Amino acid sequence: MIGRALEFMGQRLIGWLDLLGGSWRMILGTAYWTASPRATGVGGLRRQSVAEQMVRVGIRALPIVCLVNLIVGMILAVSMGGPMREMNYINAVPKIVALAITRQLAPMMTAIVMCGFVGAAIAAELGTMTVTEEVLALQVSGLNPVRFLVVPRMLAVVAMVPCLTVLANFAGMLGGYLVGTHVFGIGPALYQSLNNQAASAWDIVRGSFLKGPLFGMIITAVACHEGLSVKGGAEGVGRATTRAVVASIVAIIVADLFMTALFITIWGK
Amino acid sequence: MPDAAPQPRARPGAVPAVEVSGVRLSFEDRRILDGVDLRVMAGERMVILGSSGCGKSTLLRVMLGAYRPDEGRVSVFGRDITAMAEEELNEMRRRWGAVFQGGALYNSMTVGENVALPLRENTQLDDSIIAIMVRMKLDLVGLSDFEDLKPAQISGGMAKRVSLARAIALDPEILFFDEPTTGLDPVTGGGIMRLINDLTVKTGATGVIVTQDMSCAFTCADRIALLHGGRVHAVGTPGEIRDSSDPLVRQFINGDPDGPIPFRLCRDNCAGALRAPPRRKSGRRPRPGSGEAEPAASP
Repeated sequence: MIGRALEFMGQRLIGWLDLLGGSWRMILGTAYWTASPRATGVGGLRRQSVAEQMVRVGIRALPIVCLVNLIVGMILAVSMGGPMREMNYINAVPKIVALAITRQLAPMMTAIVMCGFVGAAIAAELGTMTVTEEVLALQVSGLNPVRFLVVPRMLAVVAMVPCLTVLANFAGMLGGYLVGTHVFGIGPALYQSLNNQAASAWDIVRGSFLKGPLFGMIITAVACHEGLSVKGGAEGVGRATTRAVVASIVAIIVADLFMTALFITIWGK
Repeated sequence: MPDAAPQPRARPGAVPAVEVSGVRLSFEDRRILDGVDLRVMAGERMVILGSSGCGKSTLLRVMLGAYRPDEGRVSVFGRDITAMAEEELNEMRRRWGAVFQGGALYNSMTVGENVALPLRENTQLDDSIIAIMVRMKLDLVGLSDFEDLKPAQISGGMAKRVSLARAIALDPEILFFDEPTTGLDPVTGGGIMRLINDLTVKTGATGVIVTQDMSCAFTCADRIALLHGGRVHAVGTPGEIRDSSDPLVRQFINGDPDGPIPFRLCRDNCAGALRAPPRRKSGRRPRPGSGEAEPAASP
């Protein structure tokens, strides 16, 4: 019994280490194919493919990212409005919403939405390509699958997640504004003023442009590794997709913890 | 003719295009290839026959450099690809083309873009020249009017023809085919066989065709190799194979469920009978040639 439990735990550990190593390989591969002299010219960086992926990742995810963050902002305002009103401190709502959205919720919620929207799509797409031997066909024709498939996706996601996070910040604060002004009766001008006091541009910049690229890298690296490691046909594709989403959400939350601790250590807040 | 170390039929002046020597390959505890020796001469069409799961496609992937064997070597035009670095191997890969069972077309691209891809990625030709070449290649496989369609909009037989057009885009010296006629109706399959013969004759390319379709084997082959139990059991011209008295060859040709090839196979199919040496406690197998004792394969 104990032996089996240890074996199970060992297998899980090996699985996680494999995921970690494989994802790291994707990141290093992207760095190599982007930075090496071979990135230009024949067999180099596929700029058109990067642009296509940016449209696919960024533009198509925009409505859902904004909607989710708008609702998160509303939920936050609704949740905090009641207790704050009881304490006769309703004017704290705009500040709480602004701080929570810009420092934590917008970057993290955007990344989590992107895990489902982009991570799952990448894992399923690459997984299907692996199963149907498209990846093998690339490989045996001398085309590196990392350069051909991973690099455009990684660059597109890393570039688009920060942009989406910036917009997510505004969507979240808008959600708080709608609830604060319409439900709790805070004057629009007062809400804006309190919101602007709490939300600093620096919070938005570091949440979007420091956390965002890291989260984007995690999402793509995990999804690409899972997709390219698929075994076992359609069932394998399903398993890889689920694993990609779950693993990248866990990794994003852990990374967010470390980033937040790092920010507090460096900047004190 | 059937023996442990089949000798290929030498052609005057021909040199080996692909030479497989003593290749062994295992996946986890399953030994798939157990000492394959095969020589494919330049310009000939070699058909590799064998029952399902006997390692034909695995052998093809080893020849393509997609799998590195545990032991043995694969030489292409005299150069050992098993010892090559990935970049060097990628250079070699431009000298061959491969057609996979399902076509393996890139679904996000049109038919024309699929054929253009090797040209775009490996040459510095202008788009206008590439467009002309794509039309030429598609014309060779009789699909010049289908350039703008997506792979999902064409039939399985057409997908194989597009895959063939893509494989010949860079005028390769060797063409590999994995089950080219599987899943196709007899007429379409016959068309694919004719294309294989025509294209290899027109381009002078060597053909390596993995199949279990006897009709394909006898139509396309200059020579046939029968793979069984992880090894090449017999090699010969279609006539020699047809006239063979070897029970295993006879059984395979006649499609007889009774004979040396068991109809009811063990869980791991025919390769299951050949177990790889068990993993040591360290989790690694003895390195070939390291002098470490290798346990005998269990039955």
